[in-house]
Amino acid sequence: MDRVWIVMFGILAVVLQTTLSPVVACCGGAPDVVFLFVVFLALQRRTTLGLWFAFALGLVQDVAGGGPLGLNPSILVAVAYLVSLLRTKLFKENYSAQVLIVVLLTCAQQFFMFYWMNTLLNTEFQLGQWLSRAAVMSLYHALLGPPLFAGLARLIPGDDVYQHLILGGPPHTPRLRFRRMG
Amino acid sequence: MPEFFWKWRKEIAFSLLILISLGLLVAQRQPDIFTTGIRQGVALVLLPLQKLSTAAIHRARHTVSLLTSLGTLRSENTALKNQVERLRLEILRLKEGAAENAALRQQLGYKQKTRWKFIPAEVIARDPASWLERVRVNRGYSDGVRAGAGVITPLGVAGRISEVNFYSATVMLLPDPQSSVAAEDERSRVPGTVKGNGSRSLALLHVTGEDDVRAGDPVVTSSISTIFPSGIPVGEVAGVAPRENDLMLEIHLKPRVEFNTLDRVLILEPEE
Repeated sequence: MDRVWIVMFGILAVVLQTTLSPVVACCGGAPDVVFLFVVFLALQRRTTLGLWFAFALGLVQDVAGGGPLGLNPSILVAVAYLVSLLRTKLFKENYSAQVLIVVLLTCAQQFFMFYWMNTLLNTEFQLGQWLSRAAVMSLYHALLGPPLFAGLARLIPGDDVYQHLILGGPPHTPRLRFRRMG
Repeated sequence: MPEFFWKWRKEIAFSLLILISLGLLVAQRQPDIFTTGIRQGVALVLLPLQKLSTAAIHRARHTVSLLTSLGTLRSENTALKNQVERLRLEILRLKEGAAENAALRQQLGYKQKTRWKFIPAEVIARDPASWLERVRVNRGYSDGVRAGAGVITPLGVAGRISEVNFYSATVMLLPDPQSSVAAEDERSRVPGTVKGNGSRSLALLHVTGEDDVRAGDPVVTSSISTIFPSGIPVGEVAGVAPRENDLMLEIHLKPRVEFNTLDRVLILEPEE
């Protein structure tokens, strides 16, 4: 059932990103709801589900925003993988730690974007442009991220202690998505 | 073997997905049936949702602006009526001038200028988190839009169509780092190329230090442009400086169009 929620929220995130987000954009930046959703999923699930959803959402975001196909998937997959690698070390219970995680991931995402654009699309973005974008978007994400995660965690339960820490309930039993073969 | 896949499943999935993404990025250069199919399919599913969401946001903004402007409606109405009268007279004058111009061109044996038709379109989506400056509009193949067509607003050049689907199209706006338009200084007729750099200012390239370009000069589309009629405003020269170790000038333009609040555009198509 929660996969249905994930798909629905994913589509909703893309639609909001391309229609509502421009309304609140300022100072050359805006919140990236799709990025926040991908970070949330990668934090919540220890399986490869986060990677596949990051890819699919990136693809949909590229089409929805009119960007070149493959740009957002590669960056979101990289972010999801980064989260999955550090996930057990990153998990912190307090609000400010979550803010720090989101800010660092936003800077990394923006740097991947800056590097990818200049390498693959032959653009000439300056390092200053990365810094200013990363600063504005980090601010948006720091404000939006933790409350959004807490809200989403009620509908899309996690498979470890994160759920317990956010909602204050008993820890959920880890749910293995794949059975060990052989 | 299965143990190996199980142990490294995350790394395998990561590598596979990155390779597919890179493959898609490379495939952009020569769109094939696969990438076009993905775009058409996803766009078709998303379009109604984006239209619905945009309509709701427009309605909400409209209501808010209506409520805040209730006090000034009467004076605004009078001012607009006066403006309509002035514009009606202006249209008559321009029609007369255009007819005279056409007659003179015919007498002198000049080639007739291309006539343009305008396809009005509404912006239904944009991704403000993207580094590219692109928007999606609610007109596509079915409305006669083709890739590469020029896009303008009543204020000036907005960009060009970079990709077309059945019922929607993507507009590459002027500030997009991959956008360029043939233009000229309206005062001195110095030609150049207006290029986007991903920020809100534009650059006028290929202008040498000997050319006469000054701050405040209006820049308009050039007559060599094949996608825009000549004389459409592009922007205004904001600053001119010589480039280091170069014969060219570094010219910054302030665009005429406010790209952040763009909600309606006109797509240009040459008449048959």
